Amino acid sequence: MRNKLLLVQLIIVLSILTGCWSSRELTDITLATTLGIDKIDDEFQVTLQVLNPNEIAGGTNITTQSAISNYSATGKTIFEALRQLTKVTPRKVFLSHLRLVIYGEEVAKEGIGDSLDFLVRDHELRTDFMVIVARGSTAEQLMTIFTPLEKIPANKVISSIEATHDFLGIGKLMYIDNLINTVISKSKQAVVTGAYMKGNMESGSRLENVEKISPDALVYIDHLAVFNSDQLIGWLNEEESKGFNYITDEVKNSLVSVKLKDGLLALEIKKSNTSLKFKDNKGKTEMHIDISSEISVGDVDTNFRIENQSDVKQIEAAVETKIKQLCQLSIDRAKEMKADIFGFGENIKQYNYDKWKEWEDDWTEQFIDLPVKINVSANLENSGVIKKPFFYKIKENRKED
Amino acid sequence: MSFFQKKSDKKQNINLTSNAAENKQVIYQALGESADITSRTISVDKQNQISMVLLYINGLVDQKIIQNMVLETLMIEMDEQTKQEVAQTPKDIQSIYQEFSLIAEELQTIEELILAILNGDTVFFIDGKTSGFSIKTQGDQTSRGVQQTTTQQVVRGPKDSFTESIDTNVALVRKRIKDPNLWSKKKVIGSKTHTTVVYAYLNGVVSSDLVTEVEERLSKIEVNSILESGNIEEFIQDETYTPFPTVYNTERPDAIAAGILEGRIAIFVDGTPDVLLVPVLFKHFLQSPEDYYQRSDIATLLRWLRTLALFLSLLTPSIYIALTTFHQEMIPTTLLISLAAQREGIPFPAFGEAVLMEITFELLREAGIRLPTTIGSAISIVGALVLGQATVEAGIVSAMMVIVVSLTAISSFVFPSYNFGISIRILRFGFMTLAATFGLFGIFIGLLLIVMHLVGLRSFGMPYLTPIAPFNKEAQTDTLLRLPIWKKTKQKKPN
Repeated sequence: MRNKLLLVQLIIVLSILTGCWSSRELTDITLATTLGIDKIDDEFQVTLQVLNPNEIAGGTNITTQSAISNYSATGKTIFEALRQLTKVTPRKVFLSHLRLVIYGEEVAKEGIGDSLDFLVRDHELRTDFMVIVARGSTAEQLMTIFTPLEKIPANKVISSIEATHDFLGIGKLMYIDNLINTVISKSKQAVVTGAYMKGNMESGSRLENVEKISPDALVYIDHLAVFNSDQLIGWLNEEESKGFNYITDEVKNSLVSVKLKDGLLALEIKKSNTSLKFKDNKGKTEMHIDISSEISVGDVDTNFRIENQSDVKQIEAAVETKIKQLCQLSIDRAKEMKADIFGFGENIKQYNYDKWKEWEDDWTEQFIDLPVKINVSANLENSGVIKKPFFYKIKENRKED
Repeated sequence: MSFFQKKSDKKQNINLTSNAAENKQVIYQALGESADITSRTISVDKQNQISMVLLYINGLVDQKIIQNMVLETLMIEMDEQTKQEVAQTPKDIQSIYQEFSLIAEELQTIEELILAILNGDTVFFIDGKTSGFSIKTQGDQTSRGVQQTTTQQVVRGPKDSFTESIDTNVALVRKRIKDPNLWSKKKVIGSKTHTTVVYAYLNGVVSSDLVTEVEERLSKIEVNSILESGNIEEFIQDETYTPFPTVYNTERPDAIAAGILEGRIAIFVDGTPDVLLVPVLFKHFLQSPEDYYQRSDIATLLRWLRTLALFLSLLTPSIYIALTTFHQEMIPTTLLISLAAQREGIPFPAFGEAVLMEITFELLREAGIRLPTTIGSAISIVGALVLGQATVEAGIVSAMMVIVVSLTAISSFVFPSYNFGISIRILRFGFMTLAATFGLFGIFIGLLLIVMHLVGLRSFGMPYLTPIAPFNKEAQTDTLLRLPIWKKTKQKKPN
């Protein structure tokens, strides 16, 4: 009995002694969702976008105040710059809910390696945030744009990258852990989504931007930034990005337009699977890319009737050529930039380790010389609920008038 | 100077005399000449020389028995011949009563006679006899009839509940188990209250060690008064310093019958509708008698729901405190933003807020129980307004905290057993303190301590966490699951 009482006393004393060590009340912290990294002269400039929770979820208390605020500070390291921020931020910055890290184009060209360490070392960061590159601007500039609908611009950027990736087949969901793995890897080069703003930057940074029906400035996502190791070396445009996603088996849903009978047919890619296979036939090496897609007809703007197997074959063949084209564009561009963004090296390393050992040291050269064979098989599953296109007739009637 | 105080030295001195009036006087004095003692003097013979004195307590006896049987036997049914015999010899009156199917017991000492009177029997003396007699005349005027159960209500199943009369209570169980093996044993406990305690079990199913154990523990009780089964519970429970009950109590006869059929022992205490059942396991508190009346899938679902409620009721406020003061990174971003927005401008730390609200709620609950039902609704209005609206609107507590406290409160009412809910209430505050000082680590330390404690706990020799620890595969059909009854192939031992 005495021992038990002693134990209870000890437990009570223990809790008093620790004094709620490392506890933080919600009212003592400020949530950061976006971190922008730029370089000014020799120093890092970090821009932090913090939230004003009351403006986002305050219910009836919402005023016309801005829901987000940006704070910038400079320092020799990211960590130092972040600590410098406390000079301007009203509360301690809480980084666990960081959703997005934006690199300015300049700093990306110089190399992102020395800023990555902090992003994964600090215990407060959750390492599940996305990384993007601000195309043609600094991160700070990109972060000044207000976005309608989503009050938190970081959420807007992430959800539109996800949407373009899932429904258009461009963009790349690059999270920090994956980025670091590819940056240090010899067999693969990193690709990061690029974002840029279009419109009037001056008025885009005002709250009125979101009060208009068509905002003055918008954030766009379509290019992909290609890295060689940790340095930005070039961009893939929309078509090349699509090709990239086909090769890396990232296409979930997309569309292709093909020309048939002097008109356009838009087809939905409902499903796409890619398999990479490295063939080594007595020194004759080749990379095989096998893509198989399920497609359905989305839109027919010409007098093309889908009535029998030969029509279907015709469409399938056109789609196959188109996808092949996209992939070829992408491969050509990658070879031009000397960056194995598709992970061919990774594939060889996994399935042909001996060859990889042989090529490891001059992989970039080998990659440029490696012939690639693309084989696409499209399978039309569904041609929609109508057979004859009727718009064509309206067009013809109009001609006769 | 009362009789009982001087018991030790005066007992031997007072003996019954052959004078009935003198004997009556002795009893009167011993009972402090209390107002509710009634005496009637009848003369047995015509000459009014031999008198007989009847003594009883008004409220305890059945007046009809006294009037119709005791008195009529003496005054009308007895013929002159017999009366003469009684008057002259005086003949053994026991046999006379036996003729009229009344049991008259001959008692030699004052104590026995007094006890008989206090039990509701009628005591009588006859001139010329140095012993007294008692006739069973107990009446049941003090007890109410069998009514609907008030604490453990069910949607489907019997609605009757135990009463304050022990005979009724035992009968309610015997009505359900018509088996010669349903044995019951009587004990009288309490040197002042002389409360009847009956324990009943199903012979052959119950383990004999358990019967010996219960018998032994009941015999060891030395106390002045037993007013409720809770008094017995305190004496026979295995562990006093535990928040968990190790004796089950219920006012549902079907629950007791089910327990007895499982090989457990029921302990009835006179004067209370709450009957005890031992041994009891942790799982029993998450089960309702209704589980066996509903279809097995529904019952299983309800058991899972109760298990969920156990954790919700125990941990919701502490997890909220831990997450919002230590582990903000674990909350989804959008939820955290909305929490942060609510917390903006709240003057208390999350722990203070939680304690404030929990205490308010506990006060309201306690007030609600004690209040008469007619003004009980006033409390709920005040509660809803004070707890729900005003505190949030005034910015004293956040809306989320009100949700947390409400969720906790609702969950704590889910348990079929009221006293188990109380244990969870006690522990909840401990967990809140742990969460406020150590965060989730504290909560897990607390859970570990509780599991350690539960594993060590015994109820009449049974490990409290049976059949989970120690694991018993067969008993799993009726633990978290409630498989169809025919799956239980044989009659079980106590788990």
